Amino acid sequence: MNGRKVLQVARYEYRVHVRRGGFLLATFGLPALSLLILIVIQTATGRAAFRTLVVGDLSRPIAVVDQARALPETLPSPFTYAPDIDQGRTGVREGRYGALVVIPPDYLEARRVVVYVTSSLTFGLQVRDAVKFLMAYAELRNRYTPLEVQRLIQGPEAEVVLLGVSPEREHEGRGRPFVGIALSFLFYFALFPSAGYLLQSVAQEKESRIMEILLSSLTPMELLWGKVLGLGALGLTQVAVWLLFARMALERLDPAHAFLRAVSEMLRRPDPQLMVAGLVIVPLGYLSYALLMAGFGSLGNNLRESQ
Amino acid sequence: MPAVVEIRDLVKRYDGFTAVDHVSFTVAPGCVFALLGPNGAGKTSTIRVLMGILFPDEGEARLFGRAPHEAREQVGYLPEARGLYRDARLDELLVYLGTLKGLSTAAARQRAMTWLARLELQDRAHHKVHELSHGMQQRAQIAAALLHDPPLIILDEPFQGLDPLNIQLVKGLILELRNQGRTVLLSSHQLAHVETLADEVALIHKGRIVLQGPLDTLRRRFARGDLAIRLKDGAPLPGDLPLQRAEERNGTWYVVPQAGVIAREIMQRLLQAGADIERFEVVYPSLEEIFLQAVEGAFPGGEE
Repeated sequence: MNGRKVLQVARYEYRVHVRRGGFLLATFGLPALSLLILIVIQTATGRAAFRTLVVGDLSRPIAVVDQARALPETLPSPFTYAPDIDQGRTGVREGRYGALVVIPPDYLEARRVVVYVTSSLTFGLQVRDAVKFLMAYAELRNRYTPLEVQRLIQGPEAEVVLLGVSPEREHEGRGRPFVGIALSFLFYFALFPSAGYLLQSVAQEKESRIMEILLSSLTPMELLWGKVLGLGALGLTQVAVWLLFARMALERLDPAHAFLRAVSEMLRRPDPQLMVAGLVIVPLGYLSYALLMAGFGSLGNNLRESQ
Repeated sequence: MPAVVEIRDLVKRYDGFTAVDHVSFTVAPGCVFALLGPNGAGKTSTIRVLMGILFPDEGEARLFGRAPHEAREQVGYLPEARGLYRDARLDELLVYLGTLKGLSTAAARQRAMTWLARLELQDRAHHKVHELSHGMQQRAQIAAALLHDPPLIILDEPFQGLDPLNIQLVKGLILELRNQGRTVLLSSHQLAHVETLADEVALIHKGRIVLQGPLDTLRRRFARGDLAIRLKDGAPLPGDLPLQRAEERNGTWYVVPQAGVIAREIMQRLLQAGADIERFEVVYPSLEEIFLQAVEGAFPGGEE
C-alpha cells in the first residue's frame, strides 16, 4: 500500500467534506446555538446580575415604599426610598425607577409585597431576586453585611465527591463516570456521522462513475484507507470544535454541579487514563463502523440504494 | 522493441458467462491500436484486466513487461463508465487526480492548466463539474487521463457521447499523441471513427478475437478489387470494360472488375478509349465490412 496516495485521498476527502454546509452547520451551528441558549437562560435568570446587585448593577434604581417599617433608613444599592406610592408609580412610569416595591403594613404576617413595573417583562427574575434579597436583608441586616446576605440567599456550592475504591484513588470518583459517558456521546455524535459520510462518498463515487478513474491510480485498499483517515480526521475536527465551545460555555456557567465541574476540570487537565482509553476505543469503534458503512456504500449502485 | 501491452490467452468469466475467451494481442510502442467490436464483445473487460481493475481467470496481461498494478502511473486511462465528482471544482479535481498519479501538487496544477487550455476549457477551470456541459465533462476526463504525461494511453470508447466537433478534437489529439511517440490503445464499437486513426486493429466478437493485424494489411487482404472511377463532366464509362458490376453515384462509377482482371488493365482500357479520367482509385473495404466478413468467417452462419 502506498502511504502517500492514502494521505492524498485522506486530504482530498477532508477538504471536500469540511466545506459542506451540513458539516459546518453541525460543527459550528449546533454548539453556537447551545451557547446562545445558555447565555439567554443565564441572562433571563439573572444570576450574573444578582451576584453583583449590591454594587448597583441594575440600570435604574428600584424604589421602595416601606409601610411595614421593616427596612433600615439607608438601603443598599440599587434600592432607594420613594416618598409615597403615587410618586413611586409616577417615577416608574417616567423611567426614573426600574420598579416600585411596596411593603404593606401587614408584611410580617402576610409575607407579601407589591411590585409595580411598566411591563410584565420588566418584572423578570432579576427584579424578583432583587426583592428577595431586599426582604432577606431587612430581616438579617443586623447580623450580616449585604454581601453575606446575598451569599446566604444564593446558597452553598455543593461539590459531590464519589468515593473511589481506595483512599489513594479517591479523586477518581469526582464526576468521572459522567465525564466518560459524556465523552462517549461526544465521540459517537462526531465520528459516527463521519462513517456515514464514508457510505455517502463510496456510493457517490459509484453513482458518478469516477470510481474506475480512481481505481486506475489506486488500489481499492488505498482508496478505502484514505477515506477512513480523511473522514476520521473530519470527525475529530468536529469533536475539537465542540470541546472548544464546551469549554467556553463552562467558563460562563456557574460550575456548582459536580458533573459540570468534572467536565470543566477534564478540559483543563485531561485525564491520562481516559485519554488512553479514548485513543484505543474510539478509533476501533470508528474503524469498525466506517468499514461497515463503506461496505454498504459499495453494495448499491447509487446513494439511495446504499442507504 | 518490447511490447508496451501484452495480453496472453486471457479469459474472464462472470458467473459462468465467458466475456473474454482466450484473447491474445500485443501493442508495439508508438502505435495506435484499436480494439474493435460491438457492445458486449469483451473490449471493456479486457481493458479492465489491463488496468488491474479486474483479475483474469486465465492467462495474463502485462504493461511494459510488468503486472498491471505495477505500471499504473505510466498509463493514462479513460474508462467507458466515466464521470467526475459533480460538486468538485474542475481545476481542484484535476490536481487531485494528478497527485494520485504521482505528480506533485504544483506540477499537477501547472499541467492541469495546460491541458485545460489545450482542450479549450481554461475559462471553466474554476467551475464545478455539474456546471459543465456533457461534452466539456468528457474533455475534462480526457485531460485527467493525460495529465501525468503517460507513455501509454488507454481510451475505452473515447468517442461515446461526443458531438462531431468533439470527435474531431479527440481524433486530432490521438494523432498528436502518436506523433509524440506515445502508444494509444483504444476501444470502440463505432468502427468508422477508427478508420483514419488506427495503425493496428483487433476485431473482437463474443469474447474472441476474430481478426487482427495492421489496418493497411487487413484492408488489402479483404479488398475485392473494387474501383471508383470518375470521368470528366460525369461522362459514362466505355461499354467494353471487363466489369462484373457498375453503379453510378453522384457522377462516380463504383465498379467490380471481372474475376482475374486487375485495376491496371481497367486503367489501360480507359486510356485506350480516350477517356478523360478525373478519379481512379482502388476502393478498400471499410472496417465495418471487414468486421462483418471476419465474423462470418469465425462464426459461420452465426453459430457460436
